[in-house]
Amino acid sequence: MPSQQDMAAFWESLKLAGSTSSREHEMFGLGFSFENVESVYGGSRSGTGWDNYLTEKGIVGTVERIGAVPMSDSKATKDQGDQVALHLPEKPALATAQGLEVRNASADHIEAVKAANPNLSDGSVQNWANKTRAEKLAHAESAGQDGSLELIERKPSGKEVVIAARQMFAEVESKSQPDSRPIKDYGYEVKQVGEQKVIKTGVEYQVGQPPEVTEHSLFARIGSLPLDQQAQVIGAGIKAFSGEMSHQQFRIGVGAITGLGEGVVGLAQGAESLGNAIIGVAQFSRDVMSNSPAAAETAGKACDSVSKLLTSGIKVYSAAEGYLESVGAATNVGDYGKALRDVAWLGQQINSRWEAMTPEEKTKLTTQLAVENLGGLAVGFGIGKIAKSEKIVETLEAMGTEVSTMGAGSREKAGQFISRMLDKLMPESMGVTPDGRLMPIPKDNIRNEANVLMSKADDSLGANAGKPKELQSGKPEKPPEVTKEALDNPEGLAKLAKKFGINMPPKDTYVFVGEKDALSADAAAKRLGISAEQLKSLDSTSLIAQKLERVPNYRDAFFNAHPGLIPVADKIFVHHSLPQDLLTKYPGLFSAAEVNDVANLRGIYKSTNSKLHNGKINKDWFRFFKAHKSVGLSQQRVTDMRNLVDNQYGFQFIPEE
Amino acid sequence: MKFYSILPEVPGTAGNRSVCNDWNARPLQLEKVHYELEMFPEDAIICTNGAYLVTRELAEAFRMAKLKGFEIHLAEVTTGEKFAQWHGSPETETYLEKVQIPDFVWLKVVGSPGIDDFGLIESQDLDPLIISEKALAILRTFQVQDCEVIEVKSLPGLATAS
Repeated sequence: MPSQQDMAAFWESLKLAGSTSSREHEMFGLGFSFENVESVYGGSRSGTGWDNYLTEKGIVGTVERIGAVPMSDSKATKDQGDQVALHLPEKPALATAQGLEVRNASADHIEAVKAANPNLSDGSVQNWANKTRAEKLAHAESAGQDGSLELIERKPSGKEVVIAARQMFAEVESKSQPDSRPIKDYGYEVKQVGEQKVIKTGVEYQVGQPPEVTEHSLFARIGSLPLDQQAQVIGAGIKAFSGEMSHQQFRIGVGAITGLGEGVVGLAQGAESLGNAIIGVAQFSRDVMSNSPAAAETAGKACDSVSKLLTSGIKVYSAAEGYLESVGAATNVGDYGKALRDVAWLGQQINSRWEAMTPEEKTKLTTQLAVENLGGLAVGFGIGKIAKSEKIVETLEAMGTEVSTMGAGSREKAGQFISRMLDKLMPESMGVTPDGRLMPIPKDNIRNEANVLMSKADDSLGANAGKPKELQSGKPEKPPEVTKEALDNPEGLAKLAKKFGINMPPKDTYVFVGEKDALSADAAAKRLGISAEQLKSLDSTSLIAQKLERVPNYRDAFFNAHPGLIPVADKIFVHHSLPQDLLTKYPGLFSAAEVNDVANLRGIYKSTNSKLHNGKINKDWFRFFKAHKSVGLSQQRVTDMRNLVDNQYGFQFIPEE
Repeated sequence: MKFYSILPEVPGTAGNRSVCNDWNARPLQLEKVHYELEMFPEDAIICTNGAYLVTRELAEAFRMAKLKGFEIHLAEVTTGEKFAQWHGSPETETYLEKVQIPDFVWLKVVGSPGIDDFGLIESQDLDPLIISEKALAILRTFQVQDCEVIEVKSLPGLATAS
């Protein structure tokens, strides 16, 4: 029969067993969120159900007040133990109804309760290995395991041999953590003292100095975090480097979540590198999903970024998938759903491509990459297992975790292996030629725009001599469905055009003199006080008398002139090479018909060239208008400027200028 | 004090409801600003010929720093047909499009270049907006990735700007 003290301890252990995240909260802060991190100089926030607090690391974070915000999912039930453990006043265990119940409990009852303990060990190593760090700590605490155990057998000779040992988890943890304390090196000096040579040397820890944070140590710290914390870092990194969150916010968040605090030497640089690596993965995923030709360029960075993260123990894909499956986007840890969905999608794509390979292909690829990159390490990593693995992403993550504790040389080799493996398995963007062929855009295509394919196809056959077959012009040998619809079937083409809001033939629009916006017949007729039918019947001379021009809708005109682009019309922005501003700022210099003429329209591939349009062409025209007053400005000067822009950026237009 | 000539991001143009008394004036200044976005603005400061717009937060930061040479006025910011062309397709969505368009206000520049924190010049070589070192430091604490900045060595009418 257990003693009263034993039972009291047992009930305490039950409370701990339910609070698997309480230790994590102690370690990382309650409900830590990147979204709510700001510098101590940035003021504080407040709101219903939320408290601000100043951590000892000098970070103001916003903490969800437990119990103030209702939880909606099953996690609420799971975390009730936390709430009890953290906020209710402690009572002597036996002064409760439950305590009395324990006092009178039968043996069967006790066994049933023990069986319900989620942390109950069945003694198997596998079970222990599957526990999270927090669960191990909670279990160790609940079981009162404050010391390590050694099982010793005394041999007949009297010699004692350790046949089994278990170290206290905290001890193991402390030993496995990289020692980041700064070390002062006194160098090596040889002095002659009389006939003796005295060597003076030594190193010592610099007590009281902040730890030196290197890029690798920061990555390794994040790699050692639980997956949900890793997901937060990854999600915040994507947000920060997509412009939704400041880099400072991200840096402070990384400092807080890793326990390094703000202002530690090397943290800023490490966080920047971390953010760059993370966005490298997300950007590529985004490019591939949108079939952007830029994916050909970002693929290389993505492979390097993933291998860098994996070899630091950061499980990019598992963290993203874990977040989406369990924590989800609707909880209090910040909405990283969209960002992490893209990352998880990329992992699934890689797995799919791996699964589509035959066992022979897998073995051949793995062996080739292992020989080329791993050398002698190949045996240690069990390359045969990698080739046989079903989910390559998880396997590479496990390899990364394994290598993360090894030396720089091994990490580099494994990183190369992972990077090249991913390079072979990463999905590719698909491009469409003007004649409607759908084809993957080669990863090593340095001139990365889709219109490279277009321009080659526009060339004469002679110009393409010697080029890869898929880049040559002419009708495809076996056209995919898009070609069939686009070129061989006028009805199919019309259907696609309609789908993308393109009128065939182009619809008429109306532009008032001195304005740039094209109006529908109804809107223009309303302004003139006549009916749309009356307006449509007016000839050009009558329209000019009304200070009005009839022009075809410029987008319709562009795609009618380039029907091969209709299948990808939603990906193409139609740009006026003569700015529409000419009509308002320099009235009379050009007619609306000239500005909207198909000869002055350019296609820009949307997802890659926003910067081209925004940052370069618009700025060039800004400077042109700054330098030219309307008085004395000639059509020739404007068309010269248009030609200059065409010459400079035309290779990125569709079709190429 | 150092001064800089800057050319912010240009994600749109002056809309039809802009008012300008003299399109030939240089530097050009609108009397009423209607900014028509062609695409999502990424930076906290944007411009078109004759007008500079900043986010309300940036304007407040300038005001709090007691910078001289500017007034804050309301601006009409709209999205046009071209904006819909850029951002209307689900296939080309980016994260930025998930964010609401920032609340922009008109940064009307009224100061003397090289003296006040904000001024406008007419120059063949420099962009019109001249800002002080102090203003640039504040600007750089905001999202400004597509803003060209050139240090001004000398300004028209001033011996040196340093």
